[in-house]
Amino acid sequence: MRRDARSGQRTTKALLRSSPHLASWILALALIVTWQIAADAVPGMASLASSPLLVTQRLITMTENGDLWHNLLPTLEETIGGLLLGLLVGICGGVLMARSRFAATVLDPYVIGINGLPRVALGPFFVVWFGIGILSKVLLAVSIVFVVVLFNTREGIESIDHDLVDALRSMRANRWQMLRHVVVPSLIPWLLAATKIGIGLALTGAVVGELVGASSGLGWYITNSLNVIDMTGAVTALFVMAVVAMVMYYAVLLIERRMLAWRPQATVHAR
Amino acid sequence: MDASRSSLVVKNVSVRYAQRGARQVSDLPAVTDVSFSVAAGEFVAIVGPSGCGKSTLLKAIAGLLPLASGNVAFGSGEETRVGFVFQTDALLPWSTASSNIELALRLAGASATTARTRARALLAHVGLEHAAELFPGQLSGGMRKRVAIARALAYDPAIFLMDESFSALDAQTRIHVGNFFLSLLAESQQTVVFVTHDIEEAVVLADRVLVMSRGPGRIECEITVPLPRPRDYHTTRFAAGFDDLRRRVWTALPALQEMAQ
Repeated sequence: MRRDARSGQRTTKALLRSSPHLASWILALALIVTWQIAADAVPGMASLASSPLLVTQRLITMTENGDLWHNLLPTLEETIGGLLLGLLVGICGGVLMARSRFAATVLDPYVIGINGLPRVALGPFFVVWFGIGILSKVLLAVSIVFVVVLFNTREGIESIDHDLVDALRSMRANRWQMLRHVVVPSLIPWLLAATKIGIGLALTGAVVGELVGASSGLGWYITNSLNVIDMTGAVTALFVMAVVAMVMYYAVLLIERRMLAWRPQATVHAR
Repeated sequence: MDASRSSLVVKNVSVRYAQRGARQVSDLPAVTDVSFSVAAGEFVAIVGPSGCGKSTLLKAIAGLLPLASGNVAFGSGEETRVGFVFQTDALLPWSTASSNIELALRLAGASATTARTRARALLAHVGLEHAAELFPGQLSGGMRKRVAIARALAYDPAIFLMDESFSALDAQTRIHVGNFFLSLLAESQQTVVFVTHDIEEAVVLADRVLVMSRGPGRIECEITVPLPRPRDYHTTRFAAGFDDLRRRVWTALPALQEMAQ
């Protein structure tokens, strides 16, 4: 009997080992169930931390009355806008600083300074300067995202295989051909890595901006809910943010698998 | 694989090597006043101790580094195509074997369709038909080197410039690729300048071996290799006269002279 139990344990363990995704889902389920039980069992718990059932109900009502889309859309726009603009600014800055020693020396202290600055502290300034609309959030996201992109772009350019450059130069490739066949493909892994990190950073920028001052958005929805001590509303918005971040991350991961098919294993870690 | 072979005249060439250190840019002489010539269809090997500037010299001949003084003239004129084969395979890792070769053909002016069919033919020629759609990362070192040679062939060069091209390969693969290269040369009679630190390899491959001094490099002496062709990358090492030639190159090398002192 004891032996049976043990071998049963062993097969479960083997099953989970062989399928980490299944284990991941089981863990999620366990967390949700625990949360629900705690919310039901502990008096006052549901009003402090809501519960899975309450959040599900809220999601359904929010979908039906349009609140979800109304608040999701601006946050998505700010996050994606901030990410794309952050990539653009970071790539331009990175290329400039990698190509020009002068520019690198002049700009380095500023980049380091900005990097060290907790940019969420810029949120109130940006809202005062650029209004409570989408612009202030996009810019806040950009200010956080661009530094990672810049660092990665610089590092990527500096680590371009010089033999590849020489190989194409020996075949008289022009600047455009060099860019297309060597520089851009060399940078792609670095930029994808920066993008993966940038998703969370852009979302942070967007939501912090909304917390400071907005008239819609998931961050605004949190502030608004907390003002009337509606924990379920706040937790629902948090949950939607997590889903947004995950969906965006996996979208980039899919792109990466396609673009980096040539690599033995398609992962790069950003610095 | 056209027989558009070029001679090469290197006259009083000096190259300075700008190196960016932590604090300053140092500008060191790497090659000083080197002159030699290579006849069309000739195979010349350049040997020398490491750091003597032989690779720098080759890159300067290819136009990849600027000359501090002197000049380099190709027999077939200014627009001479150079097939440079590196120590690393220098294949684009994000392009398949076929597209790497196609790129060389496209850069040489071929149309996309011509490039495609010629790339296939060249891959078949180097025995890698089956690897056309594989990425360099999926190929072995020897296969990558064959693709790199096929790419150089595709560019249809008037002269091959080879920088330690086989030294990164393991001994057996080196014999294999070396022989493969010798058989290609027997067909095409290409002009080759081959830089190596491996004296035996230089003697096996070349018609003439130039010995460079310790840096900044100069040509110390030249040794003609009268061994008959066709040669074999491995068995030629046991041919009559090989040992004698090898010894002559050895003793000409500055490293050995220093040790003898």
